[in-house]
Formats: sequence, C-alpha cells, structure tokens
Amino acid sequence: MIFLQIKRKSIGYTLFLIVLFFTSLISINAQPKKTEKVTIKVKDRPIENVFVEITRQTGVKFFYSNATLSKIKHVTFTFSNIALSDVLDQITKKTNLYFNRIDNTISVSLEKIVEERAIEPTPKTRTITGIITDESGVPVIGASIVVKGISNGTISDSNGYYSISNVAPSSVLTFSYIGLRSENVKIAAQNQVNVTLCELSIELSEIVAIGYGTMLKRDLTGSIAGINYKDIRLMPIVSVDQALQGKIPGVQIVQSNGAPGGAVQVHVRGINSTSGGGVNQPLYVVDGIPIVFNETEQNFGLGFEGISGGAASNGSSPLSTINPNDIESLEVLKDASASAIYGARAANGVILITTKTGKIGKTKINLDSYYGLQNIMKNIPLTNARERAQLVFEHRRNAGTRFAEGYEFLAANPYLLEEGTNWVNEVFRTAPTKNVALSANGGNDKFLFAVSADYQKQDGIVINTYSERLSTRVNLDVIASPKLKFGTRSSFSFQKTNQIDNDEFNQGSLLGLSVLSPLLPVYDSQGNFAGTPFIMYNGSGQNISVGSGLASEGFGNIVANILSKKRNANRYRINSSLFAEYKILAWLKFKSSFSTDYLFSDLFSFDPLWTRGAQTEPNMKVSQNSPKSINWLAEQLLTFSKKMKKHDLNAILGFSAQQFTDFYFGAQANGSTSNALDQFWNQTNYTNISGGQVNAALLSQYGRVNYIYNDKYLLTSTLRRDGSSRFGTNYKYGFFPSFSGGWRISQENFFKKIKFINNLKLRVSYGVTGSQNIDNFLYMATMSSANTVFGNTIVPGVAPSRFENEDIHWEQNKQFDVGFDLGFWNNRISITADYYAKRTDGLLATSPISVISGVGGSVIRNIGIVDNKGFEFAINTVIFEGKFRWTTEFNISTNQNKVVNLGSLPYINGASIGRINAYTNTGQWINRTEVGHPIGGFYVILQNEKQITSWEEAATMPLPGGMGGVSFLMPGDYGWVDQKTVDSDGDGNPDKGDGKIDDNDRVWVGSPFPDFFGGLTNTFSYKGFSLSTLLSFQYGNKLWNQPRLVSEFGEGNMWRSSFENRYDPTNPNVQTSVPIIRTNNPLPPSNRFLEDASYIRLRNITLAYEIPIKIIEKIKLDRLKVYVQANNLFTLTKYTGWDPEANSFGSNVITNGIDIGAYPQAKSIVFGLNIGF
Amino acid sequence: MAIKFNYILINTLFVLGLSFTSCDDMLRPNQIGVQTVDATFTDFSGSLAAVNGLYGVMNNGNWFSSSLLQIDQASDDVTNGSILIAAYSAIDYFELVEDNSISYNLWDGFYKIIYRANVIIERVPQVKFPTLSSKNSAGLLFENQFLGEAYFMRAFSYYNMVRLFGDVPLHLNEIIATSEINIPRSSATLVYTAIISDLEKAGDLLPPTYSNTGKGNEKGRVTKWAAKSLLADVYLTLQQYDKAKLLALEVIQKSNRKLVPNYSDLFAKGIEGKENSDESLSYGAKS
Repeated sequence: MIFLQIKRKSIGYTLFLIVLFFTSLISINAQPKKTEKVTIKVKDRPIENVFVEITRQTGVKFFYSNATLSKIKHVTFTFSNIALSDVLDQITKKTNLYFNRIDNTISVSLEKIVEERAIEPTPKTRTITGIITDESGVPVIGASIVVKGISNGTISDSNGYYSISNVAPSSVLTFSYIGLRSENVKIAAQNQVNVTLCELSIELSEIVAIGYGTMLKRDLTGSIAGINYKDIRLMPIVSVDQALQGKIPGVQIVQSNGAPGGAVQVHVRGINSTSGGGVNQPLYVVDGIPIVFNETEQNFGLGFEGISGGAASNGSSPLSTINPNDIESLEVLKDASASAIYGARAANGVILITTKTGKIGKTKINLDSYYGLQNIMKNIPLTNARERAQLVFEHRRNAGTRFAEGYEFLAANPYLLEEGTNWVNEVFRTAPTKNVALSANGGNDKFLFAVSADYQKQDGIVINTYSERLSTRVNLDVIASPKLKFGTRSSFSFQKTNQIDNDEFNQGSLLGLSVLSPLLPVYDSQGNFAGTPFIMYNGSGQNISVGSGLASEGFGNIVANILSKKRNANRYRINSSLFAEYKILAWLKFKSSFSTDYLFSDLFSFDPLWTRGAQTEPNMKVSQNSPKSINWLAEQLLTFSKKMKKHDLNAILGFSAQQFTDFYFGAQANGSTSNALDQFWNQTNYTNISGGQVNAALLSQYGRVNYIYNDKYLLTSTLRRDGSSRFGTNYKYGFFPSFSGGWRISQENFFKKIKFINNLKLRVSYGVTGSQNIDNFLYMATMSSANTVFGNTIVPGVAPSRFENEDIHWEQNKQFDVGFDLGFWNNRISITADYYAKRTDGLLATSPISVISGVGGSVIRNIGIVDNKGFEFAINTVIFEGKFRWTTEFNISTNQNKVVNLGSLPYINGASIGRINAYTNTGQWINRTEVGHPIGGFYVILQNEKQITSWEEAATMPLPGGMGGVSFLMPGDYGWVDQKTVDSDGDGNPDKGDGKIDDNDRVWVGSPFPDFFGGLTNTFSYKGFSLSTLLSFQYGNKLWNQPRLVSEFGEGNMWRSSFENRYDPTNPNVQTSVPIIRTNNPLPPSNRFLEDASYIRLRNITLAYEIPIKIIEKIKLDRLKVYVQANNLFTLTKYTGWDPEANSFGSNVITNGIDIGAYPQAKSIVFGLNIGF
Repeated sequence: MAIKFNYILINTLFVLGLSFTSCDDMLRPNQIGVQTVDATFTDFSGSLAAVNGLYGVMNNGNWFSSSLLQIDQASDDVTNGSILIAAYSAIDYFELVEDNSISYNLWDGFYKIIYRANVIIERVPQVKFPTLSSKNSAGLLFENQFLGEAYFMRAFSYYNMVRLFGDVPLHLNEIIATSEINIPRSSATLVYTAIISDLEKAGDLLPPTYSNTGKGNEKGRVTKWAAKSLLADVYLTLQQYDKAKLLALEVIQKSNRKLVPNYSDLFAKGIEGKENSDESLSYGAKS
C-alpha cells in the first residue's frame, strides 16, 4: 500500500509539509465535513488521478494496494459539485471498486466491505499488536498496516505502536511506509508482530534539499549529491567534512592539516580560480543561511606567525563548528542548474546543510558517545646516535673538512653511544578523542522541537595539540494555525584549538623531525629542556663530548618549542534564524526569515623566553588577533505549487539582502621578563597594533520554475540577480541564469517493456554562476600613503595609487553538464553518471601595466580563463537482500584542470620552498601556473638518471649556480639535464644546452591534482550486526616531499632509509638514490623530491551491533547500539612521507602539492555507543 | 484574535522584508579606512596631503638615493663594487635592457610624480578652499602654490626623463582608465616645450619663500626661485644661452640667496641643513 498523495507530490514541498501531513494523519479528525462536494473531470486517466483530486478537494485520504488498482482500466468521469458519497457510488458502478470510509480515510478494495462488516466477527479473528521500527531502531510513525486482500487497516502511532483487530488466521499483514520497503508477514499463532522496515535501495521517493526548497530526487534535473544523517550517524566523525570524503563523486576533500580542528579544503569539480584564501571553497548554507567562510581572517590577512597557507589553514572550515549529530542531510549542488540559484557565490558549488527538526510523537532522547585512541599512521625510522656519529664523520670526510672534534673517534667507537633521542617518539603520541552528544526531539501538532548539546575533545597525535568543541542547538517549529507556522534554527558553538607551526623556519614544525640530531637530548641532567652545546655522557656516566663540533648539532629543541609555544584559536559562532511561513492559498506560500551569523575568533600566540644550554631567547612575545564577522540576512520567499492534470508546476520567487561586517583588532607585545607574565598588560612594548572594519553587502532577487509534464519531461530554469558592493558600477548587478531538462525515458510506454530497467533519466543543464569572493572596493580610485620629509619632520602625504575600475566584477563560471540516472531491477543496481565542462573567466589577477601609468607596474583586473572538465560515475548496488544484506557504493571522478588564459601575465610562480638553494640561475619555487597547464603544475629541472662516478665526469656537468651556489660537483652527486635551448646551427630548432642549469631547463613533470579519485563503501548487515568499510583512492597526482629533502640534506638527522641508501665514495660504482653527503649539497628545484602521491586508503571500517528491542525494552530503552570503528587503518602508496594527502600550503592553490612536514592524519580506533530513550 | 495576530505578523514581515530588500544604498557601503581620489580633492587638507605626496617619491630609497645615483655608473667616475650587481654593470657597459631594475625604477618614480602632478593640476582648481586657510605665509593663494608645486615637479620629472632617454611618452592629463596609459613617445622638442611651459607657470604661481609656520608653509617646498633656476638650467641644456642668462641673473639679483663659499661645506656634518640652506633653492631658509 502506498500513499497516493505523497507519491504524486513532486516539487517544492518542504519537509515541513510532510510533517504536517503525518500530523493530520495521526490526529485524525473524527468529524467528517457534512457536505463534501467534489468537481472532477477526467478523461481516460488512471483511477489514482480521481483519488488524488478527491483528496485535494476534500482532504479525505485513500488507502489501497497497487495490486487492487492494477486491474482497473483508465476511467472517464465528469462530476460537477456532487456529494462525495454519490461520487464513490458511481465509481463503484463503473469499476467494481468498493469503498469503506472510517473518519477521513477511505480504504479501497475489490470486495464489498459493507457486507463483510455486516457479518459478525467470527471468534477466530484476533487483534495483533506490535512495534514498527526502521533499521536503526527508530520507531516508524504513521506506517500503514493492512490485512492483505481486504481493506482492514491502521496506522502506527508516535511510538511506532500499532494495533489491528479482526485479523483472520493465516492472514498476511502488509506493513508499509514511504521510502521504506514494504514487508509482508503471515500471521500464525502470534499476537505480537514487530517489524523492521528497511530503506528502499534507492529512494525514489527521497526528498532532497535544493536551494530555497526541496524536491523529489527523481524529479531532479541538476547534479546534486548528498549524504543523509544515517551515513553520518554510522560513523563517529569529528567534523562533517570527513563524512564527505570518498562518498560523493566530483567532490575532493583535501585535509591540508591533519591537526585536530585542522583546515579542510573542499573542491567541488576542481579548482576554478588562481586566487587563494576561501575563493575556491564552496558556499556553505546552513538551514538557509549562507555562512561566512572566515572572511574576516581573509580580508585582513590574519593568521598565526609561522603557519603558512593563509587563514584557511588555521582550521576554520565552517563545517568544523557544526555538531555532526545535528545534521539531517547534506547536499552538494554541483552543476550550474543546481547551484545558480545562489548566483554570485555558487561558482565553486554549494553545500546545503539541513539540521534536524522536531518530529511529532513521544519525546525521544538520544545519547551518542564515543571514545577513541589515535596514533600516527606511519612511522618513519630515523638514525640513532651511533649512525649519526658515523654520518657526521662521513660528511666532514667527504667535504674534505675533517676536524679533530670527536666524530671520527665516535664513529670508530660506536659502542660509546647509546641509541640517543628518538625525536619521532618524543613528538608523536597516542592521543585520545572523545565525544558526548545529547539530544531531545519531539513535539505535537502545534509545537515541535529538536534541541541538542555536544562536547567533543580531540587530542592531536603531536604533543600539545588539541581541539575542543562545545555546541548547542535549538530548533523550534510552532504551528500557529493551519496556515501559519513560525520557528527558529539556532546554534552556538565554541571551538578551541592549539596548533603547531608549520613554517619550517619557526622550528616548531614537524620538518624539524628530519633535522634534529639524535645526539641532542630532550632534557638536560637537571630536567630542563636541553639546548646546545650539551654534555654527552655514555652509559657509564663518562663525559664523551669531544671538541666543539657538537655545539653545532641540531637546530631548536622541537619538543621544547612545541610544548612552550602557544598557538591558540578560540572560535565562537552563533548562527540563528527566525522564520514565519504563511499559506496564502493552497498553492501559494510566503516565507519570511531573518537570520544572523556571528563568528568571533581570538587567535592568540605566545613565544616564551628561554635558556637551553648555551642558547637563550631573551625576549618573549605575545600576539593576538581578534577578528569578528557579523552578517545578517533578510529573505522573502514566495513558493507556488500547482498541479493540473499532466502539468506539474512549481516556482519560487525570492528577495534577499545580506550584509557582512568584518572587524578586527590585533596587536603584538613583548618586554615581560617572565613567561608567567604572558598577558598584554604585563608587557612593556607594544607593536604592530592594528585594526579596522570592512563592510560589504549583497542584494539579490531570484526565481526558479520547475515544470513537469506527464511525469516524463522535466524542465527547470533559474535566474538570480546579485548586486554586490564589491562590484564596479558597470557590473553592479550580475545575472546568473541556468536551464536544465530531464527526460524520464523509463516512464515512456515503449520503454515499459524493458522490465529490468525501472528508472532511466537523461539530464542536461547549462548555467552561469559567479564568485564574488574578491576584495572590497577594488573598483574605486583610491589614495595611499606617501609621506614625505620637510626639514626633519615627517609630513603626511597621500598619492593616487589605483585607477577607478568600474568593470571589476565576479569571476564567472559557465558550466555544461550532461548525465543520466539508471536503475535496474527495482534499483538493486543504480547508476549515476555525469560529464561536465566548466569555464571560469574573468579571473581576478594582477596584470602588468606600464609604469608610465604612475601607479606602479600592475593592476588587478578580471582577466584569465580556467577550464575544468571531468566525468563522474557512481554505482550503488544491493548485492544481497533479506536478512543478510550487502550493499556497495562506488564512485569515481576525473577532473582535468587547465589554465586557458592569464591575460598579459606570462605565468604565476608558486611560493618559494625553503632549503632549495637560492641560486642566481633558478628561483626557489616548484609550481608554476601557465597557460596550457593545470593551476600550480610542477615545473622543475630534471635530475640525471645516473649518479656521477668520477671527478672527470663531474667536471663536464653544467652547474645551477653562480654566486653562493654550487661551485663544483663530485662523484656521488647527481647532475641535471641541460635542456636544449640554444640553436647553434641556425635551423630554428634548439639543439644544444646552454651549459648551465637555470630556469630555462625546467620542464613540466606533473600535476598536484589527481587524474581520478573516488571511494568504495561496502555495508554488510545481518540481524542487528552491521559492518561497513570505506576505501578511498586517488591516482596520478604528485607531491613534493620536503621532509625527505631535509633528511637527505644530512643537516642533523636522516631517515634511516636515506642513511642506508647513501653513496659510499669507497665504492663509487654502486649507484644509490641518495647522493654523497657533503657540505653545500646541491639542491636545485629538481624532480628528485617529487613523488607519486597516488594512494588507496582504508579510510574506515565500522562494526556495529544493535541490541534487539526485546532485550532493551526490559531496561526501558528504545534503542541501544554499540560500535567499534577503525580509521585510516592502512594506506597503499608509493609516497615515502607520512601522508600522501598532505598539502601544506592549503588554500594557496598556486602552491598546491607541497608537503613541508604537514601534520599527518591519524589512524584511530574508536568505541561508541548510541542510546535512545 | 489569532487571525488578527497572524494578519499583523504577516504584514509586519512583509513591510520589514520590503524595507530591507529595497535599499540599494547597501551596495555602496561606507568606505571605511579607504580614501578615494574624489574625496581627497574636496578640502584644503586633502589637497595639501596630495601635494605632499608629490615629494613622497623622493623618500623612496630605491628611487632617489639609489637609482638616480646609479646613472653615474655610465660615467668613468663610478664603477660596480666588489659585489657585482648585474643591473649596475649593464649601465656601465651601455647594455641597457628594458627590464633593467635601475632604469625601471627611474621610469616608475618619475612617472609616479608626473601622474600625481597631473591629478593635482586637474583637480585643485575645483576645490573651494575656505577663506581662512586660503592664503600661505607669503600672502599668496594656496591654490596657486599647490598648482605651482605640481607644475614644478612635473617639469622636473620630464626634464630628467628627456635628458636620460630622449623621446618619452608625454602624459599631461590625469589617466582615468588603464586604456589611456600606453601612448606613443613624444619628441624631445615637444617634451621640452611642456617643461618650459610648466616652469614658467610655476615661476609665476609659487611663493618666493616659506615661513615654516603652519601646514603648507614648510621650508623644503619648491619656491619661485627654484622654478626659475630650473628653467635657466633647461635653457642652458637647450643652448638658449640668452634666456638662461636672463633667468639666472634674476635669481641672483632678486632671490636673496648666495653660494656657499666652500663647496665641501655643503656636506660637512653639522653644517648641512643650516649653512646649506643659503644655497639650496628649495630649502631656502633665509627669508
């Protein structure tokens, strides 16, 4: 049995309506209207259409089984203002269908029930009772229960409880609910039948959130993919973005910083812009409020000293402040048809998050809790003290600078040394992670509520790193009258993190692990942090520090640095909206809402003063930046929804105004003489005091029309007009249209013969979106400071520094998408595939101009074009059904990123990478953004395949250096390929190298973006057990391994693998991957440290057990589930660093694919518990 | 009751909603922390700050104290030091490429002055100075002084450019859009014509001295005599000796300035800024 009304409704109905619908179902009004008259005119239509129309006109609902109606041919009726009972009589005459009305429900059957009812119930019939739950044990409210063959039926109540009387022996009960698979149970001797209804394999009736409304998934014409709360709840996740990883085709999650609360980059269908910050991040919309992506920190360029990669690397993903337990569903709007309704902010896709709202029924209280332990995924062994002594000895020997400083002695007598300090063990630890979430959900037909509180603490696998989050949420709905409803969605969250530096020169970075000598102890004999020089003792307590050379061992004491520095970020987010919804007419609804989003942050850093050995840092330093973003949004929305025969029309029309205000105040101070006096008021010297405010606003009008003809042809068109304070006068308003169409081929008569395909839909869309994430006031001609001096006095002056550019506007994204959805055998197998082509033009870039302009050599303009093209493919299968159930979800995506135009800019080089020798001939960058290549493609010098084996050979090698560079090469070094750049014979083709290694010898060697990526989820369930695994993978991208560079440089320590692979000058013909260890180790920007970062990772494996309801009923619980989950258990990769997913420069996309010792992700094992009562 | 309440609520929301969504002013928010060119030239202090900005380029180490001096690399007086800097060597050996950092800095610096002067020349006449602050310490109109300073600085820049590079692009109006930047070079003759015209105007508009009292009267600003001396220099360069002589005589006789007897005293510690001022035309201390 199905509910006709829901089946037929299609677009634009909100979840709220569904709730209301069930409300009306449960609280059946016992008083039918006295005069129910209907007017119906149908010609050769299915009988369902008549029922739908009656329901629409009278509110009376029909119960029937598909089997019953399948025998009825199409009907033709004309009723004009006829009483309902007469109408039903006439239908009975024509169709032999019989109707039995109880209150406001009419059951339909092929037998005349009135007569049956007349018969006195025989004593054999019984009353059956039971509870209906879904797979996760949540009671199913409003499920229908009928006796098969006759129209005796009932509905489960708010506890999932039902009672059905007059059930004859050997009857079959059919249990059904929208979105769940119906179950038939044959009645034997039992009086109680508890049923678990499983989800349909693909929810054709699934409702998905689209911008400003909802839609049946089957009616979608755009590309929207999502996850729902069941996916989220299955996995204990710290942050929502983790739940997306490997799950959604076309969406790549890059965790640039594995630290707790670390930043996550979400790339929807590739990177569109060369700009950094949040420019390439999708728009996040939580319960209809587009929230800011830490714009204040971006606008003012705030961040911690020593943490590179911009604000987005500071752990500020908007998702990290959301309690995952609060989420009902999350949708990613990928193509232009889906996202263009968000206009000038939708170029990078839109992530819609809908939080849970109250459900009618008994108040349900849920407790979700987990506890886990995390550890480093991969251990990279380092050399010990004995090997270190050997290494230094060789280093000096090879360089010809042998000193009498003890290393020779130590190398010859290694037994004098112990293992030394294992810095990896000192820095990494086993760290706990825990979470407690409590929620209450319930309500009645007037008032619905969902409230929650969540506490989560995750310690990092690196000492002194952690993230702590406290959040609360209140979602209320008041149904004031059948027409008026209002409510609120409000949340508060507080997040506190401590991080470590990732800039290698600030010496707290994990890169230090490849530098620090094992000869350096962590603590001296007094228990203080050790520095250099230090006294070294052997096992018998003898002083074996020989000579002064040991003073140069090591850099900073990394443990001391990490433990004594503070890099605190406190973030407070208040996100609240108040809305009212009024049903003006049956088909017209008005909604008005006012929302606010506050994000206050405090970024506090503290660098202590210290004395370690002979080293001292006499100054302590504190700094604090306090950015605040406040934005409010007022929105008015009209929703139309009308169905006329074969025509189904839905439309919205909306207006919104949103204002963003960013404030910040920041300062640095020093001068205190004690680390205990670390507050600002303790300091004597205040520097870099700064602050300010920036305002921006967005005024928008938008509309959408969905039209469905005969359930086969689907058309959607959207248009948004966005006016932004950031745009120049000539482009103050941008228009963002989109068009899409769908054809449900499987609904065509000719197709219905193909029984094994139950769903086939073709989709095509085209649209325009924009990215307004540009600096404020770029369009204005502005003055900048130009002070001068008269006599001995500085006199303030200003000078015009920028031309007016009223053409400044959004970066524009045109996207074409074509795809299909295919389902076999009632969606046992379902496939979704898409091809898309995106072109972003008007990229904002600094373009060179002649200095005769008088404002310098560059100006910011809308130039540049970037293309992204790709395929997405997802296949979901139900391999086994029944008691043992096995489902798989597999997705794979490709994306090809290509720069098409950079205006008059020849190229943009990436950021400089430290420790690559700065030669006069080459820059220190690795990435270059140039036309014809991906953004931040790797453009480096090639290292020779073979090592140099003789001095004669070394003398012939072209060198990369002039001043301060490499003055000679020697056996054991590698040379580099001198590309043919000189045309010596004048034939126009270069045929000869120029005899030196310089930037002209760079070649393109790969991309930081994978050729393809995806994930595979397997879920097995049997009775209460379920086992789920997620594998994710990517292929074809390269990653610069800076920790290995530092290791092979031999400065202070080495990976043991590097050490064992080093060149032995006494055995010159044995080729090794690590060149000879010597002073001035030549390290030009070559392909030597670019590694293949393809991987397959077992991202998680979860085993859960749902305790049977029979047992937990006795302890008065509704639900009890226990689980254990392992994350990041293993990774197959060729990458030799800690984590192939590292991306140290975060949102700085022109310097992607660089690992400078990024905080690696952890592996973890987590135990969890869900209790419902 | 309920209906009435609903009615009021809906109406309120409608009105609120419309009032929020109908204000286009939102799209032109207060430009906090930013000063537009238009807003600068509305009052005395804005105009003065812009005129001060003309001199600002000269504080730029890359430009005034380095690049301008490095021109001497082309002579036999100066040579590249022990640390060889390619850009200097290029000047020394007359192998100037277009992106030589020294010549780049010179172009950048001089054209910055030219652009700033053009903006001042076009915009200052439209500013209405309040009567109280309309006159400088010499009793002349500030408006004229500002224009005079701009004309002088523009001429000074073009005079250096034309001597170094010959034909150069001649911008004499404010550039509004980037499309107006690139123009062909004008002949040196035309550039000199513009220089002479500017310096003649500067000589008429500028005050003879500054009192060093109050804003806009700081010693160190260019004076009438600076303009006339520079013009004399221009005529010398153009080998129009009669005109040069006439102007030089005027400066010698009327400016009340004299040469320091001992040239090296100009640079001696303790003297600079005092005795030097006797000779300096712009720093003219004697009044």
